[in-house]
Amino acid sequence: MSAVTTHHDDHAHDDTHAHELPYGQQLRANRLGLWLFLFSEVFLFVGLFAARFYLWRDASGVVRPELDQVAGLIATSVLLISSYFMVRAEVAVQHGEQKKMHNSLIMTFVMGSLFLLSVIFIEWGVLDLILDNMFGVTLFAHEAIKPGDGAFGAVFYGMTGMHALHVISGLVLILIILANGHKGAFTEERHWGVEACAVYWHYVDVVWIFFYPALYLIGTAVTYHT
Amino acid sequence: MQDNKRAAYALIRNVFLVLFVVSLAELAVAIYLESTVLLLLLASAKAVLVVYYFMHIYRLWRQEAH
Amino acid sequence: MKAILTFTRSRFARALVAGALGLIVAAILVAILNSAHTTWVTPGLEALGVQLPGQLLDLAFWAVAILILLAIVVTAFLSGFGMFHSRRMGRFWYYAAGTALVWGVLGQALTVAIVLFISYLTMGSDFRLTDGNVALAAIFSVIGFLLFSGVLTDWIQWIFGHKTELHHGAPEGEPEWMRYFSVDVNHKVIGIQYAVTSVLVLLVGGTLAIVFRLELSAPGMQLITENTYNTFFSAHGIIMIASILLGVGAMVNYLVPVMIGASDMAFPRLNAFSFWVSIPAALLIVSAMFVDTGFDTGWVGYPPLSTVGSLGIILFLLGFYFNGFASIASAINVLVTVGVMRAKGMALFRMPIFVWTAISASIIQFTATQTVGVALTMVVAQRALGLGFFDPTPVAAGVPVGQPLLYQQLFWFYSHPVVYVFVLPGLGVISELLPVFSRKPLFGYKWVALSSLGIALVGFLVWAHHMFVSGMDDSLRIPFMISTMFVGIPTGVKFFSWLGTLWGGKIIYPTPMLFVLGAISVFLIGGLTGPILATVPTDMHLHDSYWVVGHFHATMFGGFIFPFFAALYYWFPKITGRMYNERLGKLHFWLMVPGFWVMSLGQMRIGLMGMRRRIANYDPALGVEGTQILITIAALVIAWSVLIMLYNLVSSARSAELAPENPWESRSPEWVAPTPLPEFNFDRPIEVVGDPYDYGLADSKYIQTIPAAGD
Ligand code: HEM
Ligand SMILES: [Cu+2]
Repeated sequence: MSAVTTHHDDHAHDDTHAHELPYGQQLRANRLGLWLFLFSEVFLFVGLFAARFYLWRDASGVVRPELDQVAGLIATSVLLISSYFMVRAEVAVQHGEQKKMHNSLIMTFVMGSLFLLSVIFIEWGVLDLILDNMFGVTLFAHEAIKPGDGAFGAVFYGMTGMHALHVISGLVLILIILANGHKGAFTEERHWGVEACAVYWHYVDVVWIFFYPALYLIGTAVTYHT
Repeated sequence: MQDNKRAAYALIRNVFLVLFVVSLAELAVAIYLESTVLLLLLASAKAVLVVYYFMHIYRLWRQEAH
Repeated sequence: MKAILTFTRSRFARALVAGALGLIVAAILVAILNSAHTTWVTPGLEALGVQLPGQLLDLAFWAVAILILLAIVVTAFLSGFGMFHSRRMGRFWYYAAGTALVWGVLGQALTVAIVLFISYLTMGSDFRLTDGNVALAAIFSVIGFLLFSGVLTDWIQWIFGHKTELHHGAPEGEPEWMRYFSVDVNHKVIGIQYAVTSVLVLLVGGTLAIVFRLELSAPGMQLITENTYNTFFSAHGIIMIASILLGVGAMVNYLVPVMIGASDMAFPRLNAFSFWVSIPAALLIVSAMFVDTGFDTGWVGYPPLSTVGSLGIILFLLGFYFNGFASIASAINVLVTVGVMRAKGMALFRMPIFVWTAISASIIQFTATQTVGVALTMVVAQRALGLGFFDPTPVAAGVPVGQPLLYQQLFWFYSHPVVYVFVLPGLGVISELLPVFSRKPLFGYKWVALSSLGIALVGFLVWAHHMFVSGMDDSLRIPFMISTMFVGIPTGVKFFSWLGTLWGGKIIYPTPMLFVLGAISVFLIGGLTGPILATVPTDMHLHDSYWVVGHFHATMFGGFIFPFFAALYYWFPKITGRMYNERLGKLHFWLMVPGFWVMSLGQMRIGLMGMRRRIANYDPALGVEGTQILITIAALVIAWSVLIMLYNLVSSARSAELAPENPWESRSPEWVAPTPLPEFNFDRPIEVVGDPYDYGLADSKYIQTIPAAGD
């Protein structure tokens, strides 16, 4: 093996040809890489989306489970608001308004967390489960879907679960950006970190833009009581 | 510069409002028209808005000045 | 953070790792001794009539075993501090404990232990392996590997706001060769890491094949049980696919940056990450064979079997999944590299043709892989979380149920296109080498370049030709039959380009050229048998028969294995600076190509005679016995020839004479650059001033060095 050598003598490497890419080129590479990654993930979500239309069918055509529409609308709105604050943070950093960026990121984080909580506690029925067990009350009109509810349960938890995983990773990214922004890592000219985080976060929103109608709106509602 | 900034904030706010209205329209379509095609079209329209105005996809084919 | 890093680089940490490694090695040794003790020593003594008091012998054995264990662990531990450095054993432990590989494997083992222990705490005395804890252990074990091997270190530092520089060269205080066992960011080192891993994995898969080939040489069961047979052919399939993906990674990583005149990949850290993820993934796949009753679903992992079968299947699914993960990351890296790192003047239609195939393969890899990821995740989710994607059991009135067929749709949406990931880079090697050895321009460069993209795109529209008899909607058969036939068009373009390039050339026949010609002959067999399978009426008979086995082995060998071997020989002088042994190379060729023809055509013949695939035993009345024996002999010949190649490459790398700088008189950038390639590929930036394949044209230049300012 030792014959397999890529030598690294100093003369072999002159500075006109350094390996750290110039910022502009690196930025282009980063952008392209991020978008390709997002495009790749499109296939993940389209796979789930396709599974939804493949499985949620009966003799009459496309069906959907009866879900709590209020919960769906709340979740959708909250995520949209979070996206607004995210783009606001980016505009702020472009104009050197660090404070505004910071506050907007915090709002994004809060809204994102609210979305996550609404998924876990309302859509997945964890809240009702807790309330029911502890106080014997039911808050929401519709009983939440359970994982074992045939194709309804599988697709519903598959889609919201995979999306929630992305929300969680987005929240972690926001925290990292917040912490580094606090240390002054981002300037008016150089703020790839904020841009990347923002693009990712909006992407998660775009996924929900398609998942929301697929789960809540399209097809004939079926009351399913198991 | 100041104007620039104000315009940038105004733009994202307006896009956000449009997105919000379209989301409500989706619910209305689902209740009153039950049209799958229309729903998917509305969702696509929202996605295009987000991808263009929030995610700035055009930056991909723009040479960076700095 | 700092404290942890400092600790991991300390001598003490190294000693701990050496000790842990020693413990594992010693435990394996003791286990072997123990089985020898119970199977031979005790009965042997009894046979000799030696009567020892019942437990005395056992006691003696364990005393010795524990002594050995202690001795190894203590030596290893002390070696970690640098003691015993004058002895081979001491150096072994010392260096082993410094490699990312050993750290990673220990991290993986540790994580498995932790997850299972937590599961034990929650389950108490009912503890057993379940779908849930096996899946969790497998997922976290990959993270454990990555954390411990140090692949994630830079990124974790970034999270905490520390900037890190790319480290070039051997790890601090280690010899140069340790680069190949460390997390190195140089694309050439990573390429070689991929290549060596690929060949090792190929040997594992090949060994399994030899075992079940021997089993098949006669009806009835002689060597292994039916269950082992199932595990072996399943593992063979997926292990070979892992090996092919690694081999593609090897060629693409080593070649693409040099060929486009770049100093490295666009994301060197991500590049290292992609390679290192595939190691724990491969370990998961291999371990799938040993957990529970192994894994017997075949490489396709269809439900319902995969949703109810052995726990090993979960390991296979997740290993497959993480391999895909690596594949996606590396494909994105390649695309971005070609997108933004090309040298001055390197227009898209002036790139070496291999780069076009690498792009096309990457396009498939970074998209389609996600859908098989969905399919695999769904199976794991059904097993571990009870989400019944593929479970057709009725639940309640009005509630739709899962469908096993959904899996096949998602699976083949990836797995048909992925066959082009396997073959496109190989076909690229063929197109790359032919002009060099026939000293003529590549015939129809633009068409060949676009044909790769064409294959990639059409490849997305044909997946259901694997499902003609699976019970899918009948009306889909004809459309998918027609779309499949369309793949023949871009593939035909490639064949005609090859013929056109050879036509009237001044051909020479060193080993790489022989393998290229062999590849064409074999790929032709595969390509001609495909449309017969794609025709619905014939496929009704041929599906799940040995004809299919013959078909895809021909495509994979013709499209990947032979070109890969050609590439190994061809770029060997570039990588090592030495020349392989031509006579051994030719011997390898003349054993392997006829061997393969016999094997593949034999498989098709018995397929036509009614031999089913994926079956351990067969009816002597089929009349296939003679051909089965022939196939087994051919397989053995192929295996031997591969060993000859390995011997040739290893021994030549050590001691063969130095090769000339550009032994093939190629025009390609990697050959114009010095040997061995400098850390950043070119001492000075290059510029493209002509077309790549103008062999035989006087005064035509492809690339030139840009003179430094002031020269
Ligand atoms: C001319 C182009 C090709 C055509 C028309 C074609 C057609 C087919 C068809 C119809 C099948 C399904 C047979 C069945 O299961 O009944 C099949 C199986 C297969 N083909 Fe091809 N093929 C082509 C090229 C390739 C290439 C280039 C590769 C790989 C590098 C490949 C690899 C495979 C594999 C692995 C299988 C078996 C999958 C399994 O069931 O495990 N094929 N091919
Ligand atoms: Cu196929």
